[in-house]
Formats: sequence, C-alpha cells, structure tokens
Amino acid sequence: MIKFRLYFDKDLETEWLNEMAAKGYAMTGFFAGFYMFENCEPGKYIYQVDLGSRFFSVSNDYREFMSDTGVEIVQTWGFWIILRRLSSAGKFELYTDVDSSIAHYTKIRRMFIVVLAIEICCFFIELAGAMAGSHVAQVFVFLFIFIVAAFVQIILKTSQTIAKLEERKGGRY
Amino acid sequence: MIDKNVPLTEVVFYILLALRHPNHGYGIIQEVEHMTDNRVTLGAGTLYGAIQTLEKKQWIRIYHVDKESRRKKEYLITPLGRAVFEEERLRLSELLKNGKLIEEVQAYD
Repeated sequence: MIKFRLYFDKDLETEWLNEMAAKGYAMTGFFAGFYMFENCEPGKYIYQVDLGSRFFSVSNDYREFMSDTGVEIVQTWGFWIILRRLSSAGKFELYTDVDSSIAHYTKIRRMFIVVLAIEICCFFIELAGAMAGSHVAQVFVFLFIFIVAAFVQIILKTSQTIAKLEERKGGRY
Repeated sequence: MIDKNVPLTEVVFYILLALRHPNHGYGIIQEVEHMTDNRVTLGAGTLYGAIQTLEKKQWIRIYHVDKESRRKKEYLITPLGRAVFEEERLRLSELLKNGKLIEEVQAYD
C-alpha cells in the first residue's frame, strides 16, 4: 500500500506511522511524500523519527549503535532518519531526558531555519521573474508563499516545544 | 578544570558508572534500568549522543571492537572520566551529609 502525506512536523509523522503500525501496516519505504507500507501483525513495530547529521545517509557508528540496540533504520530522507524497533523489545523512545530532547529540537529548528532562508531566496528570484512577466515564475511565487508559511509555522511550533522543555528544566529548583 | 564538569546530569552519571567495566550500548541501557529499578531509561538517541560527547571529552574510550559479534563496540571509562566521577561523588556525599542537618529538631513553629 502507498500513501501520500506531506509532514513538516516529525512528531505528527511519528504518531501517524505508529497509528498505521497499530492497524497492521508497517512503513517500509519513503520517497518524496510517498510512504510505502507492508502488512504486519498489528502493533508489531514502534516507529521513531530522528534527525541525523548526514544527507541521505548515516555514519557507520550510528548504524552499528542502532542495530546493537535492536533498532532498524527503515529510511533516510534528507537529514531525516526513520527508525523502528519490534514492540516486543519494549518501549522505544529516542530522547528520554530533557537535555537531549532540547538538543534534538534545537537541531531540528536550526535545519528548518536554513531551509527557510534558502526558500526565501528562491521566493525573491521567482518574484523578480514574475515581475519580468514570466507566468511560470508567477505560479512559483504563490507556491513559495505557501512553503515559506508552512516553514515559519513549524519553526514557531518547534520553538514552543523547546520553550516547554526549557521550562521543565528550569522548574527543577 | 574538572570543577566545571560537575554537577553531572543523571544520564552522564549513570553512563560513566555503567562503564566502570567494559560495556556496549545495549548493556549500558540494561544496567542503568536495573540499577534504578527502571526509573532512568536511556533512549537510543539520548545514549548515542551522550556516548559521542563523552568520547570527544575523553571521559570514555572504545575498549574493544568485535567484528564477529552482533554487539560490536565496547566502551570503558578513562582515568579522566573516573576523576570527574569522583568529583561528582564528593559533591553528592557533601549534599547528603549537609542534608542531614534538616533532621535537627527546632522549636521555631
């Protein structure tokens, strides 16, 4: 089965992948918004999404470490890594303390900000093209307005997540 | 120099402790869960990040890489790591010792 979804929010994506797995559909691959699923025993896997440091790959260290702890790397996409582990191996979480969670979301926000900066550059290039009379560029101007808005929204949401974590950390007197 | 390193986070404290003997990633997770009665669980991402950082700081080192076994990499605490841990242990025992002062019965109420 193939499903098309555009997720900007890794927490919502993780939730969805786990809902699918609970219904008996294990995600096995991803390409540009298309998620591939195979039938599985309902609830066989728990999925998690991580942000790595390499583009479309992971270091040997990371791969070995994950396989040592029973974690399978299902797919890398950009800097994203989709992981799963058999639910029979117990609860599967990636970041279990406040400090590492803050570091994780800060890294995600940094990546989104870089992508947003690139998109804003693209927007102005298309805007210049549109003003010069290119109809294709006019379409792209609108497209980039939506993309920029989506990224601004996810950056704000990630900032809120970080602020909540900081509050929890600061709450320990 | 060492003073700046303490207090340790709970995660770092328990990883260093679990590496007083050679141990691999999965072994660290299990030992820490066992020692704390499942109170401290280490997520794969949390542990991976901590190991990278501790290795960079040279508080732990790779002890053995086994090409044959599924559990490939074993880590061990370094003398520097032990020094930091000892510093933290002194700080914690001072806390415990001073904490006892709360038992002094006072008639202030």
